[in-house]
Amino acid sequence: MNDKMKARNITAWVLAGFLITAALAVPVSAGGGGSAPKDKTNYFDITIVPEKSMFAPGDVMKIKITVKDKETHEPVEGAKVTVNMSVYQGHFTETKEIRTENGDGICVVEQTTIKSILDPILAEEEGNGIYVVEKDLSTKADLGGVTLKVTVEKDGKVDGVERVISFMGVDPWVYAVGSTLLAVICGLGIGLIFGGIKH
Amino acid sequence: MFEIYLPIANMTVNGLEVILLGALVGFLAGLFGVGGGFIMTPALNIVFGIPMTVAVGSDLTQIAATSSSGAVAHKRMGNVDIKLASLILCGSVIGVLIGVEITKYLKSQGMDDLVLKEIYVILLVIIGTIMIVESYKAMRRRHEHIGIRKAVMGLKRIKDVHSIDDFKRVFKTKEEEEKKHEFKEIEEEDEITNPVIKKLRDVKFMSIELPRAGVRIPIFIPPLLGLFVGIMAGMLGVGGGFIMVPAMIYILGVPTVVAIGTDLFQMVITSSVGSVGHALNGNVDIYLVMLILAGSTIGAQFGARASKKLKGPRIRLLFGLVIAIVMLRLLMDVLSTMGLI
Repeated sequence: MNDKMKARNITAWVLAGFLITAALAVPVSAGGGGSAPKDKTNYFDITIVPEKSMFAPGDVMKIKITVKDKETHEPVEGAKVTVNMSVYQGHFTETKEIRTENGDGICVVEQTTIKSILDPILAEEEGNGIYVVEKDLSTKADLGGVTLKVTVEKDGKVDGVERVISFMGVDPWVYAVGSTLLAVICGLGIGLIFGGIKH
Repeated sequence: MFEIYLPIANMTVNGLEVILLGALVGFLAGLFGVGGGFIMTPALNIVFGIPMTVAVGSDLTQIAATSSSGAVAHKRMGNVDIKLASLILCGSVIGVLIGVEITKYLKSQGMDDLVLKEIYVILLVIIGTIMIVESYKAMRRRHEHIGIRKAVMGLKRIKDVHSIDDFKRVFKTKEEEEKKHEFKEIEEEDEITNPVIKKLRDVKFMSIELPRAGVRIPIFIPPLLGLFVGIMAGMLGVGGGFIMVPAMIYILGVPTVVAIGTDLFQMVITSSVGSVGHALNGNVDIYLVMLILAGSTIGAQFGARASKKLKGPRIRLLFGLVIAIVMLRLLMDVLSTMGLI
């Protein structure tokens, strides 16, 4: 085996080692073992259907939750359904005027709020295993997500699922077409600069 | 530091890590000449815990960018058959919208993560197996060749070789065999023929002439292929080049470079339609898209350069193993969600 081939083989094995290490190690190092399954339920099948695919800040968010028994597939009535919400508030700064004890000073407070956790909301039962929850979506962000943690409790049996629902201040079509166009323009730019990403 | 909040995914990630992941997948994509969507989507979920639907939607938007970049280069080189691409698009645009609707339904049922991971496990088993088997066969052929060369040098005796004439005969046969099975480079312009291509060319019913591709095919085949690949793109956030390109080559008889160029061209429109559909359903995080794109752009350039030096079957075998590891990780998630482990 000549030196050139040897060097090529060594490079190949080093690269291979790097790839396999990356494939094995990254999931472990990031977030303690990758994604944990969030929707494993033991007693109830819980379906969350928002009124709209995309809400706007300030909208009244109406969500329908259907609960069925996991074994019999019958609607579950008389359950206690609670919804915990955390809303993306965006990165912003606020200036607050705070009087000091002496009453002669004003403090300027800058704060950055990313996510605010709201108090749990009890869903109203509509019958036939359907529960409804409504909440004003008050946020200072134009674009973001609301994480819903729905917990169903009946006869000592407790199950929960988690869902993220998006909201945006701009028209969803503007966002959808705009983000796609932005990506395509970036791609075309890269294509013109580098002569195209090799596929 | 480098912490970025992804508003649609509703979670914080390290921006640098996302760029690094994009670079790694981009490198692999450039190295092996694949789009990399089938690794990127599960990797986003496995590494950062990004919900599958957001990973699918954002990756599809990123594919719109990378495919348009590649399509520019192929269009310049005259490798795009617009007529064929238009026929494929008739099916793929409908397909990608069906895929988006299926994802939306699965999301409303809370089944999106589980079902999409299950489909990915099957997909990665198929791709990984093909890659490992193909590279293993290539390695075996190479070893046989090396065996003959060693025999010449008297290092190893081989069966049925007793004289120099025997050796010449065996060596010639093996060399011809190896050439026949040699890994096909994309520059190769050999016309590929097989019974399927011949049969399709004999079909006169509703056939259409494609001058750039140099073939005559029934008009309904490309939209059907497009429909299948479109559904996969919409559901899984993959470009589908690993299906479309071999199908165009081995079923339609299209030259390899035209197949690649045409696939990239149709993918720009298919993935863009899918991206808009997913964005309307709250599955596209533009911050995530930009981070992946930044990484994959850089990675793909290095991958493309490395591909000129590293072409051996061993490296393809190792890529197959990487796919197998990703598949096993997803399988563990699926089994855990189903309560089996």
